[in-house]
Amino acid sequence: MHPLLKDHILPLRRYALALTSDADQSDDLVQETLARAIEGAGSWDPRRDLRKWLFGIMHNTHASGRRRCSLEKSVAGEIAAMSSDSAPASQFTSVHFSETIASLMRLPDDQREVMVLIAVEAFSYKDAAEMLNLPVGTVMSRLARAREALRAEQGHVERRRPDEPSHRPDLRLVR
Amino acid sequence: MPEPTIQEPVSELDLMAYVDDQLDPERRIAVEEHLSRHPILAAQVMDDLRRRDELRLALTEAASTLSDHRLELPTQQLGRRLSLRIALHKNRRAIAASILVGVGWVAHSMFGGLGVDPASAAHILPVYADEAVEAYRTVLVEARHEVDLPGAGERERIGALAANAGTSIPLPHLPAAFAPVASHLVPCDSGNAVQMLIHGPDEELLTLFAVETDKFSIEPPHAEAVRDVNVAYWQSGWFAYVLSGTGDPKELLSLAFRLSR
Repeated sequence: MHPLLKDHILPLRRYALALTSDADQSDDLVQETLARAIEGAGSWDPRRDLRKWLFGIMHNTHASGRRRCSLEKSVAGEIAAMSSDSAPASQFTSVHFSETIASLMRLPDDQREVMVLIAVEAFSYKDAAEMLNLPVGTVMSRLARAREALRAEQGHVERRRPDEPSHRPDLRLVR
Repeated sequence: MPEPTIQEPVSELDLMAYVDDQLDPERRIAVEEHLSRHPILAAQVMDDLRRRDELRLALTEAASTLSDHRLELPTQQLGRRLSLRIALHKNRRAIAASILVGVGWVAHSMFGGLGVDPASAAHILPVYADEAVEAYRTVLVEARHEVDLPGAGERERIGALAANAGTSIPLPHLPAAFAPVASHLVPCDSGNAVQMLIHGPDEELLTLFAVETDKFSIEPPHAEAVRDVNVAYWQSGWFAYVLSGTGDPKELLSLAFRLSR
């Protein structure tokens, strides 16, 4: 891996997974992002943050792909699947954290995106706003709504858990 | 008695910014103080922090399972271009100076030595040679890391690449013992350039860098060493060529003479 990029590929992969919720599509998104970056490398100013530049390209690549898809009306099914309870956690080989990812995937696209940029990738509100081409206030309100949804979701999941085999029985008190 | 500092009350947004590590130390302390007095809020913040960490771990784990195989080549290519940008940026001043002297050098050859001391001018590489050396270095790094160089070198493909460089860059014919193995476009400040990778008779790696210039000139090959890289550069009309390698500078120069004819 090229030394300039070796620390950026995993974060880009994380972001791509969160954007596409699918391993294959995320792979394509990373590829396309790199291809666009290669094309646009001449416009990169070395004084600018490389990570932010790459994430901005990924956001734009994904956004234009989404526009293309919605024109073709081919994402209807995926959106339905994403917003339903059958969120595709099983697409990830990760087992331990599948519920965590599934609840992230159930967030609307715009909330999920800010959640990942800020909570996972630790971008500043300002940088995230610049990347998404949004006012900082909008980014913050999306983030607040995302957090609220995750909290509510977790409450829901915790209430649902007794039906499933869980570790909860450990909490039974022995008198 | 000192006036107590009036501090803004801690808001919902402050709590969110606390979780996202967006606050300056002073405000962080204010939030922590506030949390210590409001255990329910503190529990909620802890919960948000835990969820954030879980998300990081979960996504990292999911992303780590994906194979990077398909990304190796584009990553190398992008890295090479970005390194070139960095190198160009660092060398901007030096390059600006060399353009001035380069222009002087051309003027000198046209008007018989007016203005510029030929001894100093001859020691300063033209901009394109500098770029060629950078491009050669990245190729060496790749070769060391055994990166697959793109495609085997069919002349058609290389010619097509040269044609795509915005303008058709004529590439010289190589002697039979030299095999072109690959070529790619290299973005540089003076327009796109083509870099051709060549295997010499002793399997040594050479590159031929070709770029269109904005000055018509005929300059025979000059040899020079740029730290660990030997170059021989010449100009043929609107196009400048730089042959780079780490082998014997005399052989490099003689090959440059053969190619420049």
